[in-house]
Amino acid sequence: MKKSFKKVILTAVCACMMAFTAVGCGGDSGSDTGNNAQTGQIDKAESLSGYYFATGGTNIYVNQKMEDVLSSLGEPVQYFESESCAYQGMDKTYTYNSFIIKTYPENDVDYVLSVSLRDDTVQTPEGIAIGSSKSDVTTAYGAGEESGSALVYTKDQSRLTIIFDGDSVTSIEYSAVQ
Amino acid sequence: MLFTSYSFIAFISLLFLLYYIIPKKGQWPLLLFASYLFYFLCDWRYLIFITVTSVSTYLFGIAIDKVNVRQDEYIKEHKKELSKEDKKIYKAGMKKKRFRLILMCLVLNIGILAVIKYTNFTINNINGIMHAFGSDNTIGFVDIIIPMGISFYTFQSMGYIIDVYRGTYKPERNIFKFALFVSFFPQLVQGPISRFNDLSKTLYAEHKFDIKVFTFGVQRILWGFFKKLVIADRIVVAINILKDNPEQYGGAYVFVLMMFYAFQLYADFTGGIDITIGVAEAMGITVAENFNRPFFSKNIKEYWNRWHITMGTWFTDYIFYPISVCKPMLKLSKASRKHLGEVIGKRVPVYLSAFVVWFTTGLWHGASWNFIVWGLMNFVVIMISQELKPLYVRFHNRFNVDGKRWYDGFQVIRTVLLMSAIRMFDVYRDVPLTFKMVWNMVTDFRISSLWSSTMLNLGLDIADYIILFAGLIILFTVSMLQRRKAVRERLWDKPAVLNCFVTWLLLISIVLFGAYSIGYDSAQFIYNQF
Amino acid sequence: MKKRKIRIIIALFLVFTIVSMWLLQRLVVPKYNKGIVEGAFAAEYYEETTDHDVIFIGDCEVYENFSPITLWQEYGITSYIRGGAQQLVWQSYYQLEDTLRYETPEIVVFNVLSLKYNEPQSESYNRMNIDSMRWSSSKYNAIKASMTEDESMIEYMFPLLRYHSRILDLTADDFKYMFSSEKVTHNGYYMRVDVKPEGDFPEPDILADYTFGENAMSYLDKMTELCKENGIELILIKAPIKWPYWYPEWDEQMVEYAEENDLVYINMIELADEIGLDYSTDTYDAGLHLNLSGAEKLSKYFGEYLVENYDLEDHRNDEELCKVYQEKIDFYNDMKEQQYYELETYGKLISFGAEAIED
Repeated sequence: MKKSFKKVILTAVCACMMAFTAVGCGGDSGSDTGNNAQTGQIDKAESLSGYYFATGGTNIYVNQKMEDVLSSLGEPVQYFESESCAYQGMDKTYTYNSFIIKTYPENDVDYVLSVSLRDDTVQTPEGIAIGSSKSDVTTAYGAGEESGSALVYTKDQSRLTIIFDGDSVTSIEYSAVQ
Repeated sequence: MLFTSYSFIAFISLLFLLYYIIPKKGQWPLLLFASYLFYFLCDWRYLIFITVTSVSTYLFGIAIDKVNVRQDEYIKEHKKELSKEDKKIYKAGMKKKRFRLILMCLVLNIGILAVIKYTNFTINNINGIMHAFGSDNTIGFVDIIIPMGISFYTFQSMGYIIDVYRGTYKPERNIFKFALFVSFFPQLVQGPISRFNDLSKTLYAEHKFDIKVFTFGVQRILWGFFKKLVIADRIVVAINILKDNPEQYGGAYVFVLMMFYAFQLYADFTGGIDITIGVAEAMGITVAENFNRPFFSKNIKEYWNRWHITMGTWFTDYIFYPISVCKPMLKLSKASRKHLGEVIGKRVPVYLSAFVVWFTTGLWHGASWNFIVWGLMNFVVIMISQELKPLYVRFHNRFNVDGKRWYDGFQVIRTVLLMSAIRMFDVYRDVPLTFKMVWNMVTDFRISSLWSSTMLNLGLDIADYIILFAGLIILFTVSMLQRRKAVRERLWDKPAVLNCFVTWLLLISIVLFGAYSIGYDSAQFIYNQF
Repeated sequence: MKKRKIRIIIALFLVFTIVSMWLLQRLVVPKYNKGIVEGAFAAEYYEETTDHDVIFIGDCEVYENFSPITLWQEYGITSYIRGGAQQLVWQSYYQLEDTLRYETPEIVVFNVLSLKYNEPQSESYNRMNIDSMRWSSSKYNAIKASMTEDESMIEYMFPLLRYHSRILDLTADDFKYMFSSEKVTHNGYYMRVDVKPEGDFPEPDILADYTFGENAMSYLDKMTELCKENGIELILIKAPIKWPYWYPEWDEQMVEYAEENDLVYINMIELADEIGLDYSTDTYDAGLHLNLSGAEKLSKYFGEYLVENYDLEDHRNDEELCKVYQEKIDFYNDMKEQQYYELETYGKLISFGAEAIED
């Protein structure tokens, strides 16, 4: 009986599959407005998206596991760690030649909190480096949101902050949106 | 305002207090005020929508009734002059008038619902089709607010207008009373869909404080919180991880997800309804039951008679029935019998009506293909089991299993599994993935994969599993006890100390073991988006 | 008759429920008695029996860097530190407001680092700094000003709602300290004797905006105002700690602010040599906080500054105060001894700091 029951399901599944291929295009349209109310926590490992910095064939995303970054970048030039007050976790800073990576801990794992570019030997994948002009930036990224002397761009869980001194970029930082 | 928010608890506490200290005459107006306040606190713009529905339905109801009254008076006055034929013609004319009125009302209100809920879904599908034909154009989505519970109150109002149209009952003359019927706040969040003649019996009545009634209400609310906070919200973490990472969790984990989702949905939905009914009950108001221990059903049909009952009967009364007896359908029935023979011909209209019902049921649940396919799967399974019925009967007779306890158990488990499998369509992000995962579950089911520590990586630790397990045992036990007599009744008959102790225990376990406050996902009731 | 019976039952039920909830609340709230003791600081102040000349307020840069015991021993100054971990400026302000309910000091010293935070930051720090305050409008306002998005007032009023899930990981300490607690600070000073030399700080970030936020500054204004109203001298300081980085742009703003409001502002980073700080021996965590030796040096220096510039009485002749402070000195010395003992025996502190495990 159980077997035939299984068969019934399988046939039904197949039948529906066929019926569904006819509708085809609607497949991925399951608009998420109705699809399940639960706003789930996204597993960190799965959510590498948004702006990223690329250097020597390595892409660095915010919220990425630092372990993975370290294994491809190698040891930093300088390393600094500071225990936050009342032991709420160890914040770590990895200084490489042209950029600095900071991490934050969560459940004993360090994730990338921010990447800041320090000089003009590196640039963003979109071609912006320290010293670029404001119009270069807006051409590459769009208008952005102004904040002090900076333009801020947000994509998914990442934020790109580009700071200007007059018309020229003085700082580029990728950071995780908390 | 969510049921499980502190503000809701404060809101109902204050309301209960006011409800019983003000003059009894003021009770239902207070409820109307509270309901509108409740809606206002969620988002003031919601008020516009619910007011439009209330006022329009109210006016159309009166108008339809007027036509009826006029008809009766006319016939009475001209009794002698009118021939039978004249009467018929006159009546048909009046019927047309009524029909025009109800049509306007339905189009207006269902139109609002459709625009609000389905615009973006339609745009998405148009984009998909255009894409399929090689067009790069895309239509942008529209930013529309979806008033909380719009599906529920729209359906409730439409049920009312159809009943008035059919002459089941007279329309409500007091617009404020009617507005309360539409907006009664405990129902706004996630139903049930009440009938006017049912709810109005107690909704407008004057209620004296009765300790038993009040205690029962509060106990029911607590029970709802227990289901919702201790079970549903705890398990939801694991569900999210499982469904968001399908590559990682296939095979037996799909089954785990399936069962977790079944428990979660049940606890969440019935818990919410318990709170709704409990809040009403504490004020002496009787709201229709929406569940009747659905997981003890022996087949899908029975299941749908016991799960989300008010929705099921709504679809039967206001969609299935009218479609089955409408003229085109009768014609079709006749034609198909003639051309396809008795056996198939008889089925065509039934199938067609059922198809429409399940399609709309799916669509009603959510503007996505997931829900539509889910609805149609129910249709398919119900139709298949209908067709196989003679086979079952033969099987039952031959092996003499009918009524045997183990066979009942088998049927119950089978139904739960089947329903849970179908429900997977509203779990995964899209339909093809659901097929893929269910297929993966069947073909790659390795129970051994569960024994690794992976079960502890789902956001639940041992303590969580123990609490969940205990919670489910309690749920099951209560369900079993309920079969003969309501648990609250049983407790009431026992010494007060025991009753108090059980209530205290329930309260304490909610406070201590509920998955609320920071660190837990504040998952909304699944059903309040419908 | 029957009605009366029902009423009695309901009343009993309510009392029983409230009492049991209260007991559970006492049980599940974090005790902060070992390891992370910062959460116990705010409450300890209420156990003080005597008034103070000087009140320090601020973040870790006050409670780890100044030793009131040294101030007493060297200059007869009575002082108390009302500081907390990452205590935000509004929390400091309300702690000051709270303090003024109990006493009016001559001098209030505020460490300005926290001005860099203009918005609520973290729930756990909020909890540590506010939870153990006594209920008053100050506490209420401190909560209102500090709450992050997910927090709610009701969970501060009834911490059981916030901490209920701790029921699953209670320790023996939770029972032991259910109704009482042990002292963990020395008039608000958090003692550490271990040494970890200052590290190699990374380059500071470039900021888009160096101006302190309006919200933060408004609380500094309120603080200034409150001190003026009560005839208290307000001294602004930046503790001699180089990391987190104190930008020159920030410093300028402080200098300006002090001038405008006729206040004293001392940037002690520049005075490190004068103070005699040796960052290779005077810090316990690579330069973020001073250890006992550093704190005593700084306190001696600052005490002298206070005595020279303000009209403070030397209380060391006051017998009653002497008695009170002798007890404090004993506790201070005992803890010092134990810490040195642990350091010698185990090479590290085992019952203080991060590695201390709750019983």
